[in-house]
Amino acid sequence: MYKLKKSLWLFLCAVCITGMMSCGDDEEPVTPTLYEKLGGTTKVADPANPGQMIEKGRLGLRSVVDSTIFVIVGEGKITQYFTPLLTEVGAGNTTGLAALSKSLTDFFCVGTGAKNFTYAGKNMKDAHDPAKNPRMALKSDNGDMDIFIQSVVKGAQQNNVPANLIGEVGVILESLRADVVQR
Amino acid sequence: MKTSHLKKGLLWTGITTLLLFVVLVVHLILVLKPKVYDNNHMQLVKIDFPENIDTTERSLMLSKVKSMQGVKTVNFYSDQNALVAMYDNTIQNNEKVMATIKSVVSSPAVLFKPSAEMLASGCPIKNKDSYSYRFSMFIKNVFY
Repeated sequence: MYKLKKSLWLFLCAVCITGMMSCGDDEEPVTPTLYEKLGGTTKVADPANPGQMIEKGRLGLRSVVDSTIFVIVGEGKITQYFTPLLTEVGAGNTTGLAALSKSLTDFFCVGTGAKNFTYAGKNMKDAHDPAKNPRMALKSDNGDMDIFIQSVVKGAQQNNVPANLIGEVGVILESLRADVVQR
Repeated sequence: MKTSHLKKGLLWTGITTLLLFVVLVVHLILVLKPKVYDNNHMQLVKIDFPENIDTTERSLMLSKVKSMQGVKTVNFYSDQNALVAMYDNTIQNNEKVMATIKSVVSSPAVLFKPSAEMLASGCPIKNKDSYSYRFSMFIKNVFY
């Protein structure tokens, strides 16, 4: 009797395990997010803040954002939207670059699938509408958006982001065109 | 009897107003929690050159600025005839960058300073004269 019970239990366990394994086979393979492809949540040393760690995905995106801002200011094609960045603040104070870099980096992190960050800014439509955002002097057009995307591509290339991932970033930015371009 | 009702009404109005004010202050305290910036002190500077500068001077200028402590990135944009640099503002400032440039370049160099109009219409900036901004800053200064 005892042996029979033991056999029954072993049989049930085997059925359960087989069932679980077959369930696993049915699951669709998980596609990594763009954030994960850029390094994801792996912690690395933050070159901007000695002694601190930063998620590799965020570091990659922040580097692209900073380079993009640099390109925009240097090339001067859409600088009219970003001139306050060139205002010098007192030694040790938070700069305009730091504020914009954080906001854009948060936005890109959330947009590419990061889980540990939030974007607290305006939605893209309101952020680019002078009636709702006094910081927007004028509505941006398709040409401005093209220049912005080109600047992001240059920023990404400067940081050796692979071409296929730059393409994915481009797709995300293109999806925002309808909200950003308002004239 | 009427006076008692009026007193009660006033009391409840006062309590409700006070509670709403407390909720507003708590909300501001949570919202205004100091942000953690990744690169808190990185400052951008743009210096324009009204006249063309030769390539030797340009290379020397770029290497001199790049070698300054705290300078992270520097580039010269030929079509703009301008130098753009990014530096840590706890170590450097615009004047020091200008002085370094003037030590190697004989042509005039002009530090780009945004006009008031530009500042009012670009990103990022806040309307620091508004009552909501001043009240928010008051709360922030009290609690942080």
